[in-house]
Amino acid sequence: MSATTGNLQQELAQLAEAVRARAVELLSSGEVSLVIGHQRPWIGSEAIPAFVKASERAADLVVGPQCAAVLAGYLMDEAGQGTKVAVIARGCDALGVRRLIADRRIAEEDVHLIGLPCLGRIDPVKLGAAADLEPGETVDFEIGSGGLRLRRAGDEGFTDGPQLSEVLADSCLVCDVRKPEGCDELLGEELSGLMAAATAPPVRTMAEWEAEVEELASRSPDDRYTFWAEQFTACIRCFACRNGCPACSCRVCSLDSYQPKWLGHPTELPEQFMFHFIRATDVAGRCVACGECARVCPANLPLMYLNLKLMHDIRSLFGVDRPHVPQEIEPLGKFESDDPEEFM
Amino acid sequence: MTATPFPTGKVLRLPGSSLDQLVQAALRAAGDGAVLYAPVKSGETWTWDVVAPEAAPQAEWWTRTVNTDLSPKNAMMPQTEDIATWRNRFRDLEIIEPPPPPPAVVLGLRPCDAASFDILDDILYDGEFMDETYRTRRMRTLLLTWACARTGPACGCDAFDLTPAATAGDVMIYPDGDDLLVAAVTDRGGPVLDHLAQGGGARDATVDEMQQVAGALAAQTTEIGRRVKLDDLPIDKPGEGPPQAFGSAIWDDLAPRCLSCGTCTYVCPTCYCFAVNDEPRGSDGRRVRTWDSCQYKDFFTMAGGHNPRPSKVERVRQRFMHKLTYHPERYNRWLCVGCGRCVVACPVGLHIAEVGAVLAEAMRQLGPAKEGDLDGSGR
Amino acid sequence: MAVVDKQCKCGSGTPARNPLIPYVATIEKVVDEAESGSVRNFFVTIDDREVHDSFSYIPGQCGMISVLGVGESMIAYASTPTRPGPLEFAVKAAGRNTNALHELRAGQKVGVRGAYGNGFPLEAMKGKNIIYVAGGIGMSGLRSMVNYSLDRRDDFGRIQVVYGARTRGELCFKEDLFENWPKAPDTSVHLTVDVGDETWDGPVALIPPYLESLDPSPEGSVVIVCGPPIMIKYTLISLDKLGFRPEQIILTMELKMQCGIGICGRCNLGSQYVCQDGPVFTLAELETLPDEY
Repeated sequence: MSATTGNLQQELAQLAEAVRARAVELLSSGEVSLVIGHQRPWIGSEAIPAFVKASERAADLVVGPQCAAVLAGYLMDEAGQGTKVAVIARGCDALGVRRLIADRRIAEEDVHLIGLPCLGRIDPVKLGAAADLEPGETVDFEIGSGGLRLRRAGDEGFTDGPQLSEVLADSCLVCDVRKPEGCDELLGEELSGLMAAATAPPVRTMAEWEAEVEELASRSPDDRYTFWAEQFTACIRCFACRNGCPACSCRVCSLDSYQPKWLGHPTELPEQFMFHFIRATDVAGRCVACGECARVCPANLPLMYLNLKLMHDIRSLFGVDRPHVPQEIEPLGKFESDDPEEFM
Repeated sequence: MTATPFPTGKVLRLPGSSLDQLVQAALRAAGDGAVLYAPVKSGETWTWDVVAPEAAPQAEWWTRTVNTDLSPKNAMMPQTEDIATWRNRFRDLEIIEPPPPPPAVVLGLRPCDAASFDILDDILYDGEFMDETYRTRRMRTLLLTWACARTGPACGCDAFDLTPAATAGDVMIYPDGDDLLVAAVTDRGGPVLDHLAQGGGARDATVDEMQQVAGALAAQTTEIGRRVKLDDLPIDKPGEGPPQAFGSAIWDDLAPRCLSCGTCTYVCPTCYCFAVNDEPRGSDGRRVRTWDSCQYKDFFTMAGGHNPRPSKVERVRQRFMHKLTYHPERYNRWLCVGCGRCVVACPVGLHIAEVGAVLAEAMRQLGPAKEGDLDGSGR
Repeated sequence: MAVVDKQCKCGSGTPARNPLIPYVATIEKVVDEAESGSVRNFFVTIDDREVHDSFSYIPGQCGMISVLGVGESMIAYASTPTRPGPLEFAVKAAGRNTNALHELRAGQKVGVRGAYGNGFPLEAMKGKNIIYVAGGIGMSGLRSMVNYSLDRRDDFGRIQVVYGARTRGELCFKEDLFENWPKAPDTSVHLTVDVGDETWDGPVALIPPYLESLDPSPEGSVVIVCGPPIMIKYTLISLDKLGFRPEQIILTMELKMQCGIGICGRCNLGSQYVCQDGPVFTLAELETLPDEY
C-alpha cells in the first residue's frame, strides 16, 4: 500500500457515503427499482448481501474489505422483472454480471453496474488464524497506516492487527480488476488512496497462484487421487459452490436433474468426484476467478484448484491472456484451424 | 419447554489424561464390536467419524474447541444409507434388508448436539411410524455428552431453552480444571461408570460437587441468547387459524439473499428431511435414503411439475416456520438447539439467530391475530 | 431421558420391520380405465399370503407402490376393504415413477407398503347424506369410499355421485358408473363431460355449473370433492353458493411425498403432514393451515 494508507479508512467512509447517495438518487428517480450491495450483518464480521428497494434503506449500504458475497448471481432472480437493477460492484461482481450477460442469462439493459475501487475481501479463515479469532466472532475493521485494525465485540477501541495482504482471500491477492472493468459508472475516482491501491499491481500474479496447482498436477496419479479423495470425503454435496458461482446459471442443473438422473444422490466418492469434475469442466473457460465457490464451501474444499488448472490449460492451449474475463467469444466456444489436437 | 435437571446418581472424578479409560469403559458397556465416533478432521473440516480409540482427541481438545463444523447427526442418521437392496430375476423379486449397524459410542458431543437426538426421537422414534434404522442406531449407541467449559461467539443454546451443561445423552462429562466429573444420566449410562470405576484411574465424587460444577457451566450465557427472545412466537394450537407468522412481510426482506444451497440444513443437528432414491445396477440395486434440503428449488415439486414453493421466499419461510412454529406446535420443543453452525456456515448470514429475533419482533408488533385475519398479514 | 426400546407399528399387522421397506407384490391384472390410456387400474396382491390377508386399510388411505429401480408413488387405494381381494391402485401417468408403472403388465413384480394417511372420517359420516363430486382422475380417490358406503348402505343416508371428465372415454370405472352404482338403493349417479361426442347423449357441462343445476341440499349432508385443483377451486365456490358450510366439505390433498409415514419432512401444510394427518381434510381444517399447495 502507498504512503497515503493513513487516509484509506477516511476514503472508505467517503466512498460509502457516495454509494448511499447514488443509491438514493437512482431509487428516488425511479431509474432503478432495486440496489444490490452489502450491509452490516446481525452477528459476525462479514458484510452480507443487501437488497435496497426504498431510498430510506440506502443508509444500510456498506463498502470495504468486510464485504463478502459476490452479488452477480442474484440478478438471475432479480433482473428482468421489468425495471432496472443496480449492483454496487467490485471487480468480481462486475465480471460475474458480465458473465451472466455473455451467457445470455440476463439482459445488459436490465442492469446498472456501479463500480467502485476495491481493496480485496478479507478471508475469515486467514484472519482467524492471524488474529486468533473464532468462527462467527463479531469484529469491526479499520484500515490503519500499518495494516488492519480490529475491534472485537465488547472491546472499547481498535487494536493493531495483521497486514491486509496477509488475510486477503486468495482470489483477491491475484485480482487485476480491483478497479472494475465494464461498469456503467465508477464511484470513488477522486479518492486517490483507494484508486492507487486498486490500480497497484496485485500482491501476487495469477501465474504464481496457478503454480500451486501445477505442483499438485505434477504429483503421481495415486497421490492426486488420495488428495482429492480426502477432500471430497468431507464434501456434503450441499451445492453451495454451484449456487454461488456466477458461471453456473443453468435453470435446471444436469447434476440435479431427476429425469433423467445423471448423478446419484448418494454422497459416495464416485458421485462426489463426478459432481466436482463435471461442474469444473462445465464452468471451464467461463470462470471469472471470483473464488466464491471456495468461500461458500462449508467444508473448505480447495475448489479453485480445479478452476485454476483449467484456466491455466486454456491460457496455454489457446493463448488467451486473461481467461477469467468474459470474451467476445469464449475460448471453448470457438475453434481455429490450428488449435492443438493431439488425439487426432 | 423446561431444561432437564442435573443427574443425581453415581459420579466419578477422572483426570483428563485418563480419558482413554472412559472410552474403553464405554466401548465395553456398548457391547461386542462397538465402534467409536469422535471428532475428526477431514480435509479442513472438523466432523464425526468412526475412529480407532487411540485416534480420538485428547481431553484438551474439548477445552480448546467450541464445537465441530459438522454435527454428529451422521452417527444416527448417515447422510447416505441403504434402506434395502433388491435382486430382480424373472418373475422373482427379492427385497433384502441391510445388516444392522454395530453398537457405537459417540464421544464428546456437546449438550446441544446430544439434545438434538432427543428432538429427533420425537419425530423418528416416538411417532406412529418409526424410522427403523434410526431406532436401531439409537438403541445401540451410547452418547457421552461433554459440557462446555466456554461458549463460542456463534453459540446460542440458551436462546432455545438449553444451557452449556444441559443434561442429555447417557453420560455427562463436566470439565473441572484438569479433571473430568463423569455422571450417568440414563440406565444405559450406569454400566459405563461401573466399568470406569474398575479402571483404576477414577475415584468417587459427590453429587454435590458435580452439581456445583455443572451449575457454573450451565450459568454461562451467549450473545445470541441475550439478543434473541422467542417468548412471543405464536405457537398456535391447530384449529385456531394459520400461524400469524406465515403472512408476515419479513420473509420478503430476509429471503432474497438466500443462495438456496443446502448448507444450513446439512450442518444442522436437528434437520432430518430426507429423500428416497433407487440406485439400480442392472436388474438389481439398492434403495438409498439421503439427506435432502427444503431449500432446494425442487424439494417440493410434484410429478407433473407443480411447485407450491417456487421462490426463495416460500422456501426460506418454510425452513424457519418449521423450526420455530410448526415443530413446536406439534412437539412442544424448538426444532433448534442453538449450536450456531448455521450462523457460521451460511455464506450470506441468513441464520436462525437473526430470523428468530426478527420474527419475534414482528410478532410483538403485530399483536394478537385480528378476527378474520386468516393469513396473519394484518390486512 | 431414558430411551426405551419399542417396536414399530405398520399397517400390515405383521411383526415390526422397517416401514420404509416395501413388500414384494405381483400385478394380477391391469385395466385401462381411461380411453386415452392415461389412467390404469393395477390389481396387486402381496406375495406373502399372511401379510396380504392381514392387510387392513380404510377408504381414503393410500399405499406406496414402487417400481424397484425407479421409485415410489403414493396412491389412494381404489379398492374397498369391505371386498377382500387384490389391492387396487388407479394410477395416472404423470411423472417418472407412474410412467414406469404404466409399462408393467400382469405377472410382473412391484413393491407395496401402506396403509398411510387418516382416511375418510367414517364415524362422523354415519347417518349423513353423501354427495361425491369428482373430476377426471379424482374418481380414483373416491371410488373406495363410494363402494364402501354402498357395502355399508344402512350406515349412510342418500348417496349422490356427481362425476365429470373431459369425454365419455375418459370417465373412469365405467362398470361402476353405468351398471353397479345406479342400481344401488337411494343412490343416483350424475355424469357430465366437457366435450360431447357421438357416444354421449348426456349433459355437456363443467362440474361447478352442473352441480349447481342439480341443487343438492346441504341439510344433513357431507360432500366429498376430489379432482384437479382448478375444478376444486370453482366447485368450492359453487358449494358455498348452495349453502354448504366448510365443516361439511371434505377434500383430499395431494403434495410431493417421499416416505409416506410423516418422517421425511416433506409433505407439510404448516404443522400437519398430508401423509399422516391427511390426505383427508375438511375445508374448515384447511382454512386454518397455510395455503401452500
